[in-house]
Amino acid sequence: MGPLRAQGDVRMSPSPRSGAMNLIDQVHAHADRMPDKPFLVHWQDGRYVVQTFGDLRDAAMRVGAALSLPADGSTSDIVLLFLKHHPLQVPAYLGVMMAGLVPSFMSFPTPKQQPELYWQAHAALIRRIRPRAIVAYDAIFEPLLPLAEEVGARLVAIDRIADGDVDCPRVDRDDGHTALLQHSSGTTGLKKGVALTFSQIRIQAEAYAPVIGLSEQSVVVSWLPLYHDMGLFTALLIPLTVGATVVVMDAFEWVGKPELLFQLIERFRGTHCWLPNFAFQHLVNTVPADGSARYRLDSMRLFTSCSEPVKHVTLDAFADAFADRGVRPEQLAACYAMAETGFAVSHSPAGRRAPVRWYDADLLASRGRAVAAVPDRPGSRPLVSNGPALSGADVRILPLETHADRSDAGGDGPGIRVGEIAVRGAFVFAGYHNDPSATEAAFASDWYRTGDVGFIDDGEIFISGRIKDIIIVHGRNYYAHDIEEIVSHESGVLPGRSVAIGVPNAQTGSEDVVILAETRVEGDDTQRTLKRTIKQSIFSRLELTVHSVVLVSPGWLTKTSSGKISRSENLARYRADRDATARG
Amino acid sequence: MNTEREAIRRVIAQTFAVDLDAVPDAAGAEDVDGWDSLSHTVLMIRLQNAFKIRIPESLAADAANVGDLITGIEGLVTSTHGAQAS
Repeated sequence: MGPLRAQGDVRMSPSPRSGAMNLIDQVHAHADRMPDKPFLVHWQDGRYVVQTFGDLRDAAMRVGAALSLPADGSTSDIVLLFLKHHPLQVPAYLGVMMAGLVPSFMSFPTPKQQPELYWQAHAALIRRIRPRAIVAYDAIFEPLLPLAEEVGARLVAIDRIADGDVDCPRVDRDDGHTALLQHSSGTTGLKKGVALTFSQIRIQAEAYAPVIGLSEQSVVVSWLPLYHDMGLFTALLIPLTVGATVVVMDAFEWVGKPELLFQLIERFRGTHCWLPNFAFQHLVNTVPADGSARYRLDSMRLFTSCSEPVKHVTLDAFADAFADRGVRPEQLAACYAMAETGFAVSHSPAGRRAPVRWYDADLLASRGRAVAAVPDRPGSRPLVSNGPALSGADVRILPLETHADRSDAGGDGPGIRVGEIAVRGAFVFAGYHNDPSATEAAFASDWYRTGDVGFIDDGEIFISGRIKDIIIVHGRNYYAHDIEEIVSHESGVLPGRSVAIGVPNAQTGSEDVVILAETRVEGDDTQRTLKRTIKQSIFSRLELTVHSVVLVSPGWLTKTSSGKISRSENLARYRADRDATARG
Repeated sequence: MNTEREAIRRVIAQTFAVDLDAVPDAAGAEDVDGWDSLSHTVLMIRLQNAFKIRIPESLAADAANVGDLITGIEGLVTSTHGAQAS
């Protein structure tokens, strides 16, 4: 491939500082200077416990001491943490770092996942990583024990991990040492581990915190799981770096009691909250906006929408629904982020509503050109600005010529050229853990290719699509081919004759996954059983609830000229059929 | 036809934007398009508002199918408002 042309440089990147404090140094510094200041308020089932910075350090050091014991033959320095919402979840993670090891939060099996399918998928990951230790809760020891023994990993119970000595030997880590692994999307066994160094975490925090006004006085309120990059950085690493307080609740508790978020914001005078677009919509859909409003949200400085496409209508609906509680448009911000850059690449300026601009929808889709259009008119598409790139991030727009099958891969014309967003800078990761081929594919020279399609207009980043066949559901990324692989193995589905497509859902503010699968199975009951099996199988392996499975007859799915089943054409056909049915 | 059961079924069908016959008693969540943990919460809130009841977490989480859920809601309506309420 020849050199990639680029346009739209936004920022120059600083270089890492030598002698700067890493995250663990920060824990010690905060604990020395403000031992009684709350760092973590852990909310669960109507009760909460507070951990001060002093408590945090003590608990983390106990974990560090426990994990510093000699490894049983393992040469790995990775520790996997399969943990539910737990008061020791954060100290355990930091304790792993204190022991000079590399932590990685993993998702855990939910009650509705079939355990054998969940563990089958995760066994492949554990065998590949061969961690030095696994930290888990008692209920999952039974399936984990044989796996841990097989790979020579210690299995450590979270409930007993901090019972020992506080005297953790201090392990000094260089700024460039790997601090953590963050597992990206992908079939569990093939998940890529994003390796981030201490300096990348620090530089991310130092670049991001001033933009959002996050300081020691700030209070982050969050239900985001820590195995997700947004949760890890916004509810742990960045607040910890600046000495802020975080109030955390269980994601599952929040889904069932959405108003709990507002309750905790009022109670603890929250200032910052990050949510995927769907969560804004879920609050609008479930929390009464009328006179029953009880919780005030005036203390909030920012509600930031991130991790899935930011919808203009959702932000408006949220502002309208909760204006009486103290929500103001200027609290609503947008952020562009990904695990490969630690977290944020850009953020809309604090203190004003994330701006929306309107573009000609047809020129965006068919010509790859961003041309300003009249707001609120048919044919105009609103896009919410993700703001300028953070200090330390260079952002470029790479041409899409190599994607000749894309309708927006054009070039010449009016307005701004749309292309693939690429990022370079001191907080961009260096590569995937032990995966040189994935690393090579992810970079063009030293630019990380995000797979997102967008453009830079007047210095602000706009996202208009994506190259990767990723479907973003409730802020989590799923590869369409991973889903299709699972469907293809179901008895009754014609091998290779299924497609997973993402369909926007205005009601939920997210995308729905719809499976179109060819089958020769007939009869209502048999087809119902097949649909149910496909849904259960996907949920157990990927923790993804598929919206619907549509069974079609052999030959229904459309192929491209190269013989591949076309997701875009089949999506168009599915929508046309659905709309025709709806019209009756 | 038990009108209260059908009224509950109507709220379920409306929540998932499907026809009444798409939510028979035997249907589980995976048989109904779009029934996930988030939409389940929306459904519980709609049922609470429609029938002026409080749904305990045990019923919200444990109902195995539409029939179980309807029976549980019916019982709550009766215990909250008396046998004649609907």
